[in-house]
This record gives sequence, structure tokens and C-alpha cells, in this order.
Amino acid sequence: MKAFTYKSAASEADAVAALGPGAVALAGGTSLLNLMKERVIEPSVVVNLKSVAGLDKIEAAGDGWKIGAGVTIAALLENPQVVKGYPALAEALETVGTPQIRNMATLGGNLCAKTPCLYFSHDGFACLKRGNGNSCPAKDGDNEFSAIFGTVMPCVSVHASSASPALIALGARLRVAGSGGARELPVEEFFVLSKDDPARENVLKQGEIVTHVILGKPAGKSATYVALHKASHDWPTALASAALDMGEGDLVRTARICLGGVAPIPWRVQAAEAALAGKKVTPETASAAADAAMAGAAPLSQNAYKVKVAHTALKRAVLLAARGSWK
Amino acid sequence: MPYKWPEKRQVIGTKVPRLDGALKVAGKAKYSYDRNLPGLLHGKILRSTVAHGKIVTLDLAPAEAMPGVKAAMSIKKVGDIVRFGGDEVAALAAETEEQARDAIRAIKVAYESLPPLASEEAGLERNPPPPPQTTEKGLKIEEAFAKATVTSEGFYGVAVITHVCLETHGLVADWKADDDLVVYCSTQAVGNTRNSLKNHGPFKAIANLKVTCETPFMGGGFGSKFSADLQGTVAAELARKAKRPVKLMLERDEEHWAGGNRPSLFAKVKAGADKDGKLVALDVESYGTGGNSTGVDMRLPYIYLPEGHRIRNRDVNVNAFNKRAFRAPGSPQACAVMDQMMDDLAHAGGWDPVEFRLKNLPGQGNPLVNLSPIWEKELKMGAEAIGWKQGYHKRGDPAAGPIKRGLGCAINTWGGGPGGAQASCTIAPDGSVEVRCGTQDLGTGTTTLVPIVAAEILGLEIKDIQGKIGSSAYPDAGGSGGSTSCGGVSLAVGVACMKALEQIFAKAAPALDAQPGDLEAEGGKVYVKAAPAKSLSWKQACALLGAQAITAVGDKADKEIQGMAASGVGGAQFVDVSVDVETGQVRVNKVVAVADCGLVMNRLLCESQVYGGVVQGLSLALFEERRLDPRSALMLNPDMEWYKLAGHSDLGEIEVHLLDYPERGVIGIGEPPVIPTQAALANAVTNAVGVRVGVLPITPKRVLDALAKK
Repeated sequence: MKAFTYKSAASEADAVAALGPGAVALAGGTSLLNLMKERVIEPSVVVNLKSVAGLDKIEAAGDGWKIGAGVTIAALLENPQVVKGYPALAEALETVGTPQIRNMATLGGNLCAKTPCLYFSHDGFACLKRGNGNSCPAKDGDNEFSAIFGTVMPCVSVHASSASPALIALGARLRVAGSGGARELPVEEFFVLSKDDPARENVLKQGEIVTHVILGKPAGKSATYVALHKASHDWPTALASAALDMGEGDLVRTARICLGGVAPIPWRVQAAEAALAGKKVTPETASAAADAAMAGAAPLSQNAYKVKVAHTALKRAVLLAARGSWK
Repeated sequence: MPYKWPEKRQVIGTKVPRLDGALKVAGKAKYSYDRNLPGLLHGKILRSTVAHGKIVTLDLAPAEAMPGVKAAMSIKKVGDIVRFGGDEVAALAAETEEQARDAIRAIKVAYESLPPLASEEAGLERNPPPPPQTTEKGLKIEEAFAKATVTSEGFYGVAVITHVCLETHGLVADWKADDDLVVYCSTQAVGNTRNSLKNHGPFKAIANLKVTCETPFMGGGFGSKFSADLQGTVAAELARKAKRPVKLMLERDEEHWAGGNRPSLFAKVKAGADKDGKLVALDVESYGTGGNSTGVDMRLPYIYLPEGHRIRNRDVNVNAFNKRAFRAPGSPQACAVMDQMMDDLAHAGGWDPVEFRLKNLPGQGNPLVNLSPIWEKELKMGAEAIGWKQGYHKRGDPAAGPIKRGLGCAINTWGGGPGGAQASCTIAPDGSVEVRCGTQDLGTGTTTLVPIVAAEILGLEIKDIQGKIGSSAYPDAGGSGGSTSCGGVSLAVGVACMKALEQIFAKAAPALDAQPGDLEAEGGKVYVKAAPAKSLSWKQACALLGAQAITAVGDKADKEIQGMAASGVGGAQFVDVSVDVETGQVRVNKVVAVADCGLVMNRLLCESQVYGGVVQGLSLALFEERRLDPRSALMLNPDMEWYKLAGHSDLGEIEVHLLDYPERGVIGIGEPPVIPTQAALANAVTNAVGVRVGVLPITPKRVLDALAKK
């Protein structure tokens, strides 16, 4: 690891001021410290956010909740209102890492974590996302775990966040603080798929930090289905989060569906949402929605199987949300 | 007088918890990693970042000038070829680990890239291609197939896996004097580790060099830790240069690159059976890699012997580290090929897989014929325990929905005869007993075994025995490999104690007004067999020694040993899985393992070996695979994140049945239980989903790709 200066920020303003060029923000550290040890990231300054007052709070806000970015995954899962009000989020968080990781990792860190790509953190390869190469070594290499959507983009990594698809499906917003003050934006708009800057997966600028996740009124039905290879401590093969706003006669008024583990950013699938609108949720309509979503998939040489897995995850998430069981 | 195990046993075969278990769980057991000697330096190795290349620049001077660096050395020189990603190039030692890491990065090194072989398939296609090695036995292959009424064809294989020892390879080297080296090495062979250092080129010339290897505890070897290894000799050289102790333990990625791996094996198989369900013909075209210059450990045909067979194997080189022995070398791969084949052939003929195996157990002419009654018993026990009658169905679970359940089985064999070992037993006039043996505890429970044997022979309790192992200063014993330690150590310790007891009896006999041959030691007493009331307490008997302790030496090679150990075990395993055909995920419901190991020495740790074998077997069956980048041959998953290992939640229920054959004597159990799990699981998956996945590990990709081809 490259030697660095360590600063503990007492406040948001403190943190923002300390996050100058060459500085990175440290939350739970479960991802960042590994990348620093591997020298994927070599910051000159590390700014500790865990010391920022208030970032570890879960507060009621209007009809919903304002969750500090420093709240750990474990703390969120221990909060009965969050678990009950937003099943899609809880079900996504349950599969993150291990108990030890969930005790350290934060919600903000989950949103901002770097890709678990085989090549990104490997010293032996030049990689677009890492910023030391002109092409994506996964594209023609070992891409069994790579993206199946957005693969026309220069980088075919998958996004690390399991929480983000749920937050997008739930229509959550983020509060971001920077030197110019704070702003709010939908989680969906936080992520960017950039052809020109594959190193980037979100809109954060130097000196900006995510401070809060804002969840609206718990409404409708939501669920996440995570397809894993190992039963625990594994990156999802694919996951899907669905939030359904139900109208009369058990018909879906609107649906919001987002996939994870399948693209460089969380992948909202509006085709699937449209396919469900006005329909009753049945295995057939859920499967048809998944068909609509997968029409946009463009798998690589070794990961066609992920289309089937993502299809399954989407279908089951919708069924789980609507009926409490996918079986 | 011949040496035999006592007919009536008090300690042997009981359930004795690990004597060092509490130390281990409390973190008080000192492993090599924990040897933080005064003045310790930290060693690191510079490793190649290309899998195949020629070193064109190598300059240590910038590193030597870095803060804290006390010694540096090259391992290869300019012009040398590196043959795998992670090949050793140079090394240094510094005051702190961080300084050593930084200094390694300061070494100036450059490579001229050479084209790498990055996969078995690439290795097969190289020009000229590797020549096939052919073995043919029995009937000519065409004649054998002419007898077949049913044939099946399949492609089966297992990927290269790495050992992933939890405690990585390495040692701490401490020169007590110019000719006195002590190493604390994570090794499964303290004697051979000492020898490898004594014979190391730069040390050979040191007159009267004394080397001692101390390994009271070690964290896993699985066949990959039989010598000081390159990192060990490097640490000793650095320590000698710096005149300070040096610790050099591999980091996790180094452990994957250069700590050891098991060869792959892929086989295109055609097999035939006659109308009675007898295997008559087997034709195999296989290939696999043992690294950049070694081959697979070919053990086909495994167990079942058709009337005619032909094995054509190609050993393929890739630019990766060479293989090491791995728990039952060659056998899990051979079993994965043979027992998947047997399942497919049974399916083709419409025979029940268990019945088909029973019918084809080794008969006359097969060297394993004597194990057939054991397998027969095991297959029947295992089938009963897994619920074969109720749970087995024709290939493809007819149940509705995406979760399909299936059962599978496989059988295994291994040698496990006693390895070379000597031991000493010292009895002091105060009655204390110390037993020394230069073996080591690979994690299999040898630390606990030694007092079990001594207590049994001397008629004492385990707490009365001081067992000393894990040092090359003790009487020589072989490495813990081939499942040979339990047999060899039990014999050496047993005979040493029997000989020492003879001396005690000689002293006690006059006091009891008897002949030495009339005496027995049991329950802490020495007494006259025919008149048990005539007795001395153990302490009283030992007090008769006078001022001098006695020491007796036992040797496994003693000609007087009769029937105390044997070789050759059979085992059978059954696996019950559920497979999600829409995600490709396999869940293990239950594993039944029936294992035989002759005379059971410690029932608890013997069972523990079988559990461990099954756990490792499941991990290999479902998750473990070394991934090389298809262009550069660099390993892509030298970690525990993408080199996937089973966790507790992946294992399901494991049920172990030990068969007792005390009349056969001690036979090792360390390796055999890992052999059949992969094949049994693969067969269960096929039974569930209706198609053969064939290649392990059975990942979601392999399951879904196989189903897509259906």
C-alpha cells in the first residue's frame, strides 16, 4: 500500500474540504482497503467519514426515512421499519458479503463501491476502468462473470452494488454534499454509463460525498431476488429488484424493476416494467416481463448463461413482490 | 516375541478430542506465522508479472538502497526464463513487512515476453503436439467392444485446483550459529524440510551444519508442503546474509501462484457393457496439465477393470506453476472420470447405478479383489442411509417446478500403508513417560494419536503421557503424505512402548515373584496376569528403575511386527442434491460417507478426517477452479473472492459411517474420503436435471450450458 495521510472528518464540511485532489473517502473500508493494498487506488490522503456526525443515523423523514450513508448494512438489517417497509432493500442487503463484512460495510459504500471484475483489481492487466489501459481485458478474456447488458460500451464490468437496484426500484433519492453545498437526486441519476470515461460509474465529482439515502413512503409491494453460486459470501450471478404499485383488481398500475450484477451500472429495465403495467402478476406475465427485459441483453463469449439467470431473477422478484413467494 | 496390538483395547478406538484443540481455538498455539523472534526481518519475493518470458533486466541496487533493507538476493538472473505468472525472480529482507513490500517494487526488472500457453486446449494445439502415452490391457479394444451390447460416450473432467492452505507456505529462519540453523516451517515433513535445507546448494559446504525444523502446529498442507521449498531456502539465505532471523510466509496470491496445484484431467470416454451388465470395454482419450513441465497423475482405469481397455493420455504443458501432490494424487480425477462413466453406462443399459456398481466390483485378476466385499457392504449401507430406494428415480426429476432433486454415488480406494517412522519411549523412575517421534501433525490429529498408543500399551491414561512430535530433532519419521502417518507412527510408538515396558517388567518381576512374561500393565498397575492381586502401582514399578530413566526405540521397520498395519481401503459416498434449473445453482441436501480404515485409532478424529474429506470434496465439486487468463496465462483469481471455497451454508448434512476392521490393523484415512465426493455429486446432479454436466466444478454456467444443449 502506498503511504498516505489520514484525516478524520468531524463534519460534512470538514470531509468535503479534505477531499482535494488525490484524496479518497473511507467509510467501512471493506472494498477500499483491498484496492489500496492491491495498489489499484493509490490515494495520497484518506478521509475517514465514519467520524462525521450524523452519518450513522436512521431518521424518520416525512412519510419515509433518511438514512445516513455511514449506516452499516448490519444496522439497516436490524431496523424493523426498514426491513418491513422496504423488503426489496432488506432482501438485497441480506446477501451482501458475510456477517463480518455487513458489520463494517456501509450503505454509502455499497453505492460507491468499485466493480468486482476479475481484471480491474489485477496488477497484470491494463484496464480501462482502472485507468491504466486503452481496452477492456475482460471483453475478449474471461468474461464468465461480466456484463450482459451495455456490452457495446468499452468496459464490460458489472457494478458491485446489491442495494442500488432496490433503491432504484423503490424510487429512492440521494443527498450529495460538496463544496457548493448539498443537492438531491434520484438514485437512478446517480449512476452513469460513460463511453468517454469508463473509470466513472457515478456522478460524484472530486470533493463530493453521498451523505444520505432518502426513502419515500413505504408503499406497494417490493422484493429482490438474488441468484448466487455459493449460498453465501459470493457476488450475485444476477439479481433483480422489483417494486409494484398495485391498482384495483390486483392489476399492476406501475412497476419499477432494476437488475444488478449484469451491467457496469445498475440496469433498470423499462421494457419489463411496461410489459407488466395493467396486468395481473402471474408466472406467465412475470416471465413475459423478463422476456421483454432480456430482449436487450447482449452477452459476451462466455456468459450467455447469465441471461437465463437474470431472467429468472427478474421473474422471481416480480412474483415475490406480488405474491410473497416465487414458487 | 512378535509385536501385536493388545486384543482387549482400552484407549485405541475411543473418541479422544484433540489434545491441542483448546490451544488452537484460544489462539495460543504458536504457528510459524507467530514466531516473532527478537530482531526478526521480513522477507519478500519479487515474482514475474508475465507467465512466460526472458529476464532482460534485473537490478537489485535500487531496492538495496531502500529504507530498512538488510539483505537482497537474486533467484534468477538476466537471460533466465520465467515459466509462470508469479515465478520467483529475486528476494530481500527488511525491518518491516511494509518496507520489504516497497523495496520489492524498487527492483528494476524487465522481461522479453514469450508466447504463453494459457489453457490445456492451447497446450494440445502446440506444434508439435504432446505425444499420447498409450496403455492397453486385456482384450484388444475392438474385440472388447465387440462383446458389448450397450455403449455410452461422454466427456468428463476436473479443472486445475489449488491447495489454498489456510496457513500459507513459508518459514522463519534463525541461525543460532554459523553452522546451526533452526527453522519454524509450515510443513508436513519436518525431517525432509531439514534435509532439503542441509542439501541446499549454498549450505552444503558448511562443515557440520546442523539444521532443526520445528513445527509443533501447522495450518494445512494437503500434499503441497514436503520440503523447505524455494521460499524456505531463500529465507534461510537472507537470514544468513543479514545475520538476523527472517520470516518469509507467502501472501495469499503467492500461495495460489506457487503454493501448489492439482493437475486437471479431461477425458473423452467410450465404454461398453455386455447384456448382463458387465463392463467389458473402455476407451479413453484424455489430457490434462500438471503445469509447465509435469504431467497428470494418471490412475485410469480406476477400480473397475473391463475385459479390454485403452487409455491414450496427453500430458499438456501450460505456463503455470507445476503440480504438487494433492490429497490422494490422481485419484479424485480418475474417480470423476470412471464413476461418471459408470453412471452413464448404467443409464444407457437401464440398470440401477448401485446394482451396476455391485455387479462390476473388482473380481479375480483385479488387484483390488479383496476390497470388493468391503465395497459391497459400503454400497448397501450408503444406499440405505441416503434413502436410495425411495429417492432414486430415472434420470431427470419428474417433479414440477424448477427445483430438481437427485441422488448419486461413487466409490474409491487408496493405499494408506504405514510410512517409515521411528519413535522413542522414555520412562523415568518417577513414572513419567515421554514419547518422541519426528512426525508432525498435519491437522489429522497425530499429536493426539501418540499418547493414545502409548497409554494403551503402558496401561496408563492419556494425561500420563508426554507426547513430543513436530521437531526434526526427534527420531526420524516420514512426511505426512499418502495417508501413511497414522500407520507408521502408531507402529513406531507402539513398539517403542512395548520395548520399554519389557524393561519395566524385567524390574518388576522379582518384586512380584513372577517372570517378566507373566506380567501385564493395565489401569495404572503392573500385575501378574494369573493373579491380579499381586500388583504394583505404575509408580512403584517405575521406582524399581533406580536412578536411571530408560529409553527404548521403536521402528516401523521392525521385523517382529505382526499384523499391526495394512494397506488398501475402500469407501463409498452418496450425495443428495437439489438443482435449480433456472439459475444453475446446486444445493447439497445430504452426503453419506462410508469409509473403511482397518483398526480405528481415534474414532473422533477419524470421523473428522472423513468429514474434512467430504467438505473439501464438495468445495472442489461445486466451486474450486484455477482461472488463467486465456491470453496471458496469468491467474485471474489468486484470492478467496473469485477462487471460491465452500462455506458452512454450502455443505448440507454430512453423515459419516466408519467400518471397523480391527483385524486388518491400522490403515490411513486422510486421503480416501476426498476422492469420491466429486463424482458422487456430479452423478446426483445428472440424476436431478437429466443431463450430464461432466466437467467439474459444477457451476451455474456449466449447468445452464448443459441444459441449453439438451
